Amino acid sequence: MGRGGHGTEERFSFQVPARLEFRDAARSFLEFLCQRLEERSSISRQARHHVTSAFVEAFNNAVVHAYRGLPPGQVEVHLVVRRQGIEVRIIDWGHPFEFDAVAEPDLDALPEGGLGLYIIRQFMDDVRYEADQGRNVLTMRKAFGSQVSSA
Amino acid sequence: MLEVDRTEMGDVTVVHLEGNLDALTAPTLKREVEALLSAQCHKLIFDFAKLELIDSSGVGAVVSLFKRTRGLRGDARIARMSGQPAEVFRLLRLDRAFEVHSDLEQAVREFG
Repeated sequence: MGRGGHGTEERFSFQVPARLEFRDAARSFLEFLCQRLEERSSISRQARHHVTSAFVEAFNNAVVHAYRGLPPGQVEVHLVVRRQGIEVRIIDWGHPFEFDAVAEPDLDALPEGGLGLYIIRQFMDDVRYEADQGRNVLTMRKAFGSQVSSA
Repeated sequence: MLEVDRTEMGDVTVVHLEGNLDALTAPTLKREVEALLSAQCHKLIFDFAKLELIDSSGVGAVVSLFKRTRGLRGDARIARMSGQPAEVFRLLRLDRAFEVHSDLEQAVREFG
């Protein structure tokens, strides 16, 4: 576990095996951070749920999709708490994916799949994906005090 | 971790979920509910009172079971949903697709 800070910024990073059973261990640390932020009235309970949901979906995607057919790899998690919000970055070394080509689900059709990225995009304020030299980086930001953009 | 228990209330079966309904545990729920459907239990209430977290795989499992139950001329409803699962259901508009009750006894009574 790494920890660093610049002024009002706090940074944490760690790596876990890309297996679903490690996701909740990683989530526990994120929850701990979010709970502290809620106690300081920086983040609402609702926003906490949004950040948790997005994290879980991003971790799932790395484990289930990125490493599909590959030897088990690692998932790296970076968390940055700033004055204005929280940033969650998930890194894997699996298959890249066409982030912009993923269509929005038709919610009226009650889909049973294809919802993960939609949840991430709707619950977070800013989502960026970058595939570079074998590394896939998903960066998600949630501003304190923000609402779901369109639900 | 997900614990699945059930209570029979007349011809209504309440399926109590405790813990996380996610990519790891969704198959457990599917197995349990498929067994209920095979035993002709077609009036189901998913009790989310102790459900802490749901992910898209968990949502997929609930929607799939909802469709299966409706296909058998039954129905599946949800009771006592709050917290993170309620946020996800609201986002995906599932709180409109499902009949959702804040009170379990009322949910059972109104099943008819």
